[in-house]
This record gives sequence, C-alpha cells and structure tokens, in this order.
Amino acid sequence: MKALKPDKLSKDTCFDSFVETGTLHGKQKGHLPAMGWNSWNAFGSGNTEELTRAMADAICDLGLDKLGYRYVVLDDGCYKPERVDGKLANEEVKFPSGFKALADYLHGKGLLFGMYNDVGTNLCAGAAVGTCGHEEEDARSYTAWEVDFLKVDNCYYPFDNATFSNPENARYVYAPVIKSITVGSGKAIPAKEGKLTGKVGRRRKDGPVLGLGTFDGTGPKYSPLGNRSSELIFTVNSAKEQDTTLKVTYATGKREGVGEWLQMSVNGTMVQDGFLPETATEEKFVTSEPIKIQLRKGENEIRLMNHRRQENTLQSYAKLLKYLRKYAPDRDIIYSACEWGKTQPQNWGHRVCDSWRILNDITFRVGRDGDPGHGDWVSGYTNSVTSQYNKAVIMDRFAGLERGWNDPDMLMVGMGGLNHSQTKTHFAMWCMMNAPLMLGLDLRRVKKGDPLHRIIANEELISINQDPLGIQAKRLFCSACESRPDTTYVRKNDRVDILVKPMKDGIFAISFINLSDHPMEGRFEVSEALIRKAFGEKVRLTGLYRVRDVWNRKSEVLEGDCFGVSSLKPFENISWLVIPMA
Amino acid sequence: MMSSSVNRGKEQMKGVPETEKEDQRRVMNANPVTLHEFADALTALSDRITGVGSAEKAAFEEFLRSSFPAAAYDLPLPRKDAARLLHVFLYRVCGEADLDWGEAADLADVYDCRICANAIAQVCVRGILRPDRKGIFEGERFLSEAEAAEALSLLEERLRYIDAACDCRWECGRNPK
Repeated sequence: MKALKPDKLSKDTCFDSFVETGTLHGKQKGHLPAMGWNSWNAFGSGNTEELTRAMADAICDLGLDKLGYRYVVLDDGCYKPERVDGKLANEEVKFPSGFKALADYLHGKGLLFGMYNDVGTNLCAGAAVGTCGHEEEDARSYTAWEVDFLKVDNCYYPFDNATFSNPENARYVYAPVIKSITVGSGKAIPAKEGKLTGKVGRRRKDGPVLGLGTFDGTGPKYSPLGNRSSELIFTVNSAKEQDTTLKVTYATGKREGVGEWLQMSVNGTMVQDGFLPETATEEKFVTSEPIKIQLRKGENEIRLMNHRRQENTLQSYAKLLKYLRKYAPDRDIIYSACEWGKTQPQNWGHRVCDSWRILNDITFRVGRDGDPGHGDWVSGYTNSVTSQYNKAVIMDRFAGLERGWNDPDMLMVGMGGLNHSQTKTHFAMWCMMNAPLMLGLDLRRVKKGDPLHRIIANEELISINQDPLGIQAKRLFCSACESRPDTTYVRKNDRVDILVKPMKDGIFAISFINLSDHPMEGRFEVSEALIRKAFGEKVRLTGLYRVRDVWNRKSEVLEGDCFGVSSLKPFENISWLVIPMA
Repeated sequence: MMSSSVNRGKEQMKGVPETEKEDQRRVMNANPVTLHEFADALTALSDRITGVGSAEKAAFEEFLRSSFPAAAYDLPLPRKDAARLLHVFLYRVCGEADLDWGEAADLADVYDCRICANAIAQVCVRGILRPDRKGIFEGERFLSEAEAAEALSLLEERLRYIDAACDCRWECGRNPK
C-alpha cells in the first residue's frame, strides 16, 4: 500500500487563513443546529436496520419530526469491517437491505439520512474503512446512498497522535526542540532571544524551547479560549535587502510537545514545512542544512512553528468535503466534525463543517437493545453533562449561522444515571447553547406525554435552540466567578449560572441553572444594563415584559430592570422566554 | 493451544516500516494470544455455561464478524480488545448487566480507548482482567497467554459461582432470560 503522508498545504488551509470567514469548496452555511437521532448513545456498535427503522417510526409516531428532529444517523458499527472492491459496504447481518434502501425508507417518511465515518484509516470501533486515502470513492458512495448528514470521527488518524494512532505520530504535529537559529554567516541567535507566543510552548532552564505546536483539547483540563498554539518568533535586522540562508539548531522527539516537523516562515513566506532529519535523542542537538531565504532591509520576522495538528485535520475534513461537493453539488449535506476538540476545531471548523465536537465523548457507557446505557452529571473527565457544558458555555464567540456550532456531544436524555431534574437541565443547556440536538435513546421507551417526551418535545426550548438568529447564549452570571463569567473556564459545579440568549424580534431567553446537588438560595439576577452591554441592539429592553416559563408554561408580566430568581432546587433550571411589551 | 502466536506475530511484522515495528515491539510481550485463539476459547467456554443457546452464541459471533477485519484474527490481541471481547461475552452470552465502574474509573488510561473504556471498566471491576499495574490498565499491550488463561478461568469460575448461588438472575448482575 502507498505510504500515507500529509498533503501539501494550500493557502486556504494554512493556519494564517483560519481567521478568514470564507468556507472551502463552496460549503453551504446558514444551517441551524441539526436535530435528530443518532444510534451511538442508544445502541453503540449494536445498531441494526431493524432498530433504525423502529426509531424512524417512533420519531414520526411521537410527532418529533414535526418539531424538527429529522436526521436519523447511523453511527459506528454499520459497515463491513473491510472494504469490498475498495468501497464501503453495509454489514449484511445488521443492515441486510443496504443503505440505499434504508435511505429510501427514511426519505419516504420525510426524514433525512445520516451516516458516519472517520478521517483516519479505521473507524473507532476498529473497522478498516476510514476515509483516509479513499475520500473520492467514499464521497461517491455517500452520494449514491443519498446521505444528508455525515458525522466524521478522528480515530486512527495517521498524521497526529489521535486515539488508536501510533503515539509517536506526535512527530508530525510538534516542532523539534529549538536551540538557536543562524542567519547567513552571522552568529547563532539563541532561542531565548525569540518571542514565545501561545500557551503550549515553554523554555527549558538551559535555554532551548519546546512545545511549538497546538495544545491537545480532547480532555477538559484547560480553557478553549486564548491562543492554544505556540510559535517562536525572532526579529532579525538586516542592513540591506539580501538573499541569504537560515539554519536551525534542533533536537527531535516523537511525543506530545516535541516532534520532528518544523514550519518556518520569513516575513510571511513559508520557507520550510516538513520533517527535519531525526536526531539521536532530544538532547543531541544538530544544525540543519542551510535554507535559502530573502531578507528585506530593516526588521524581518522569522517564525518557527508547527500548526500541522490543526492544518492536517482541516485538510482531511476538507478533502472529503471537496469530493462530496463534486459528486453531490446540489445536496446540502450537514457535515459534523467529531475530532473531540483535539485540534481546537473552534478555530478552523467553520471553514468546512456545520458543527465540531469540543471534547471527548459525553459517555463511555452507551446503551444496547434492552439497556439504556448510563450518563453522569459530573465526572473528572469529559463523560458528564457538566464537563461538556462547562467548556461549551464559554465558547459562544465561535458559534453562529455563518460559522457553525459548538457540539458538546449527543444528548443523554433517557439514559440511566441522570434524574429528572438533571435531564431537564441537560436539555435546556443544550438548547440555550445552540448545540445540535441529537437524541440518543431508544425511542420505543418514550410515550407521548410521558416525562421524557415532555422534555424532548418541549416546543419552546426547541424554538430557543432553533431561533433564526442563531446566537449561542452567553453566560452573564456565574456565582463561582469573580469577574468575566462569559470567558472564565469554571469546572467547580457548586454554583449557579445565568445564560442569556437573544432571539428574533428583540425577544430573549434566560436560563437560571443550579449545577449543584443542593438547593441554592439568594438573589441570582442579571440587569438590563448587563444584557445591553453584552448584546446591544440584539435585544429589546423596555422595562416591561411578558415572561413565560418554558417548563411550567405559565406567563406573567414583569416590570423593572432586573431578571432574577431567589431559589433553585438541586440541578434545577428555570428558563424563561422574555417578550418585551412596551 | 496458544504457543504458535509468537512466531505468527513476528511474521506479521515483515515489511512493516521500522517506526511501526518499534512501536509493535514496545507493546509486544512474551507469548501473546491472537484474537482468533481468544475468541475460540470464549466460544468453547460458552458451550460449558448453563442456559446458553444458539442465539447467544450467534450474537457473540456477530460481534466478532462485524468488529474486526479478517487480518486482525491472526495478530496478537491488545488487552483493550480482549476487554471488549470479554465484555461482549458477559452481556451477549451470559446476559450480565453492566456494573458501576467503581475503582476502575480511577484507571489513568481508561479513556484512552473510547470504545473500550466501558469494557475495560467492566472486566476490571469484576476482577476478570486485572490492571497492568496500580492505576494503569495498559490496553495497548498484547494479552499474554498467562493473562488469557487467568481471565478465562476467572470468568468460568464467576459464572459457575453465579449459577450455583443464585437463580434469580437479577441481583447477581445477570439479566433474566
């Protein structure tokens, strides 16, 4: 088999292009968060055609399709474990009629068909049918199957140390340890004279710099805000415009923080983007061959970096998109990136995708036929409602109709482990944060009007999630924050948050959320002034409002300049639609 | 039964690039068991369990067929995949419900494998497959012949004990048939 290697970067996929708002390959934008059902949390790898048809029937019988739940997505476990004549194929025992027949069944019911794959060589459950190197034939298959939604995972990715990849693939995504650079025949300029940007890089006590790459955001430990990539930047003065050379003294490694791939640019022109020869150890420094560069008269900026973690992943997602657009130019396929926040997709996802996962999975105890699986409210890792919420709630700046949506993973409504209050609050959080609403339960367990149905079919909460302005709620109050509740990453759950979300016609939604396991008493409020400061003209502030509680469906008139509650039960949320009256 | 697997593992490394070879050597331990051997041993065990019928066995086979490429069958079996097989065996063949993770949640590497995390926790919390060392499961390391034999023995012992001690098949963690 031909050895896989990362693509050469185009101008459109390099790090410096991320701030541009344009999409790649004509990716359509303007989609509201996707709503539907995904097989993973409900059935794991054990989903079948029979179960999928039963879920589709239930969606229609329960009236969920009328509320917007239209995508029915087959997650991992639906393909044969190997390609057949180079193509993807259905697992014949679980999906005997094939995917096109299932698509026809779903489309016949007015629903939409979603599938799953991976940018790596294998799917997460092991099947050797990842899209890497097969983007074109897979796009043809998805087009033939009339797929409307594609969730694409990141396991077995060959150009990063992703889940199930060789850990030494870190060599692709981190620069070597840098000791110095040398311009022309001048003296070596030690790393300590360079400016270190971002929060990943660090200087060793003896001078060299490591950590030139992008922070791995799969886990919940660090904030997604701020510069998550590091560069080492030198300013070099030249008495004249000249052609000269640049050498680097470095040592390589193959682990998170130290790699072998170096990118260098001089005054914005990339002069190096590839592996440097391997050194014996991370302590054994060598000097590279000279690289031809041009300096201008005066100050010159030389950047040493490695943004390949983000760039490689963007390129892989873009490559599949390119062929989807080629073979299905008129099909508006929703593209869901599931790279678990590893590569800080909030920076680049908007160029190709409709949503991007922000962390590893919300649960590792998925259900199966006859077992609802298990979800947690709190955990030390990503597998809980609060772990996902705590990160997503400060990521509103990355979301929007022209960008896409932060995805705190699929809903755990109906799974074991969450009580009724936690389940209601979980759903309200996802609605307020404009998260995709992908149900993950066996819908045969739901009856019209039962407690689960009243949560997932809450029309007012859904209207908040699907509001045409597409603005993710901002946290304007957090009882655990001393300041900046909208940007402070808080993982302590003994607290009350207040989220505010502008909606069309000057209406706005407010959620008061008690994340703790005990009642909260006090005055939890936000003022008109605070809301105005956050949203300006996007909300209409009149001093007189009709306030409608979306859970008890009661309305009352509120006159004043503050919105508040004085008590919240454990895990409770009180959520209002606020309609200006004057 | 499992003695040929070492040579077979070496055969599999022919033509593998040096860096990948190093990685494979890093995780290869003495006498690794192949997927084929371990799956066969579990299938043989299912023949000895009271009340296991053809439907349960077919469900286990279906998992194998749909989860692993044919090329994986003769390769050494990583411990994480051994945990998956044991977990599927527990719930598909034996009808056991999942238990709370308990101390298994503290394994530092339990989340390294998203699709194996629950399986690792379930076999560890039952004591069928032990962590490699305190706080570390080491899912990438290949399952040794000794570990496989111990896991199969502990599993059989557990099933015999449950069958002998309890008919209810509820409180013991097994679902009613």
